[in-house]
Amino acid sequence: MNHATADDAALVAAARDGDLDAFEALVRRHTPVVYAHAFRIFGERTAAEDAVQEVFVKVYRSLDGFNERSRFSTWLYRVARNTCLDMLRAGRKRPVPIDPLDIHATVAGDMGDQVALSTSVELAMRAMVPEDRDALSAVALYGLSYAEAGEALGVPTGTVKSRVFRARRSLAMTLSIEERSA
Amino acid sequence: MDCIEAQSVVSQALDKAPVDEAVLETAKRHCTTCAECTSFVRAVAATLRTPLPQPDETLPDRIMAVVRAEAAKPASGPTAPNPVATKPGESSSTSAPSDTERLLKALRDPRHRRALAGWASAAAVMLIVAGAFAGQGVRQILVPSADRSMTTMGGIPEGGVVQGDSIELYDTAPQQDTSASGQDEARTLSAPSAVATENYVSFGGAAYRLVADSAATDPSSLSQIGTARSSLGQPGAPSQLNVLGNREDLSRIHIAPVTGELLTFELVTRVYGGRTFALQTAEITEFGQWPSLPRSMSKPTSDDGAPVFRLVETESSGALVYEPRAGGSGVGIAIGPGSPESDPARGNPEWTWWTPIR
Repeated sequence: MNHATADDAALVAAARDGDLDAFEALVRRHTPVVYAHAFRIFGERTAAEDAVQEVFVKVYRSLDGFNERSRFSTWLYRVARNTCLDMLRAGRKRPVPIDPLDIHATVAGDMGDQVALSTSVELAMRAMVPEDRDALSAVALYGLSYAEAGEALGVPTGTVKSRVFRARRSLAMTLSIEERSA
Repeated sequence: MDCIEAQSVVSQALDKAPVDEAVLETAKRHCTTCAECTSFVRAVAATLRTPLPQPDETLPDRIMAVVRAEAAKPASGPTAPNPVATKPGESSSTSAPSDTERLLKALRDPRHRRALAGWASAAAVMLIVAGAFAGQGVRQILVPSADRSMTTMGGIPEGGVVQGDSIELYDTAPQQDTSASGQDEARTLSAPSAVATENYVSFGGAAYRLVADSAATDPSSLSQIGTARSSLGQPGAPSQLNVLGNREDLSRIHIAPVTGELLTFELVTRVYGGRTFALQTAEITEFGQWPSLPRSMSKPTSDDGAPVFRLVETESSGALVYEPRAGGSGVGIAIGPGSPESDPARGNPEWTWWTPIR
């Protein structure tokens, strides 16, 4: 099997049979997304990396519990979200507080600057209502459909659709401050 | 079509949700003529082209080190129970086994069989020790066999000294409660050992292992360098014992129990990365007690060492080497529970902490 080109389902099946290289391919493929997800929750690199490591260890231990009728991304999203929430509940990690003035100061910068834009987007993501951010992460980061996100979040599809829309409007409003101030 | 509806349609189209073509065209036309919707589209487009925050490039390697260590453990890995937390109301992808099934599965699990064998061995050792104490006296129990004198590995260079509680240099987590209840909790979190405990004492925060009696040691060459609290191998409460030795070389210490013998203990060390590390421990007050993490240190809650340590590698002996998440291995290293018996940690079921001495 070519691990680089194999799809997630094939890699999961191989990993279940003890192929650690297949699991490594899954880890390398999905680490950026899980990290971005965790970073938007904790706002801090170390906490996000700890969460990612815990997520993949849990995934590895639970490969037998993976329902092949679901997409790996859906399952991964659920594990990642639950892991981050567990870390928050247990007090092991706390999100870095956000000062609204920080967001304004950042977005008031040069929007043509990718770094400034990225920083402002991440701050705005973290400032969002958690339910809205969860839904947007599921759809925009993990590429889940509204129905898959609804299943993972335990809410109706319509609720996911409205949360994602609300999240985008929130982002747009935050970023549009820059346009008005430019 | 109003602004909210137009933006909602655009948002759904971005998410590849089914949207009527005609409705989408109407929404697009609206967005080109309305300042608010234009701003919305531009902002959403900006977020789409923004690069994601990137983790450290070594993160996948670190994850795989933990996973490979997990896979190397007997009967762990993909067949282990699903530990993934689920929210109330979420369905689990696996059905819950009955109590009988869980018991049978546990008994089939080689790790549990090993643990049961360990407990059985420990029980047998306890019975033998009790009988020996009754019939033979303390001295014959305390004097080790010849091969025990080989257990300290790595050795201490001339002039090597034990460093103090250097762990306090990087207090990354709340202090662990070492009251009676705290100790009980710590034991609950530890794996039972399959090997018999060595005879240890603690002195200056370091662990020393009994290696021999000191018939060949000239007591006049020793001076009192402190005290240690231990019952040694005798029944009853621990007592304060004079520790004899040489302050310039703390690789060996000597204790003279009330029975008059001079017992010699050797600092437990290991070599890692070309450096020598000494085993640090919470107080050890009796023989049969394993060295454990110093009081100032929190115990990991996960096999991967989180939240205190991060797995660095698996040594050729099979021992799992961890470093502090804050500070790196320069501050010290930890060895995971259940190291091989051949390791300097001697199969200790507790996490152990080692600080560099040179």
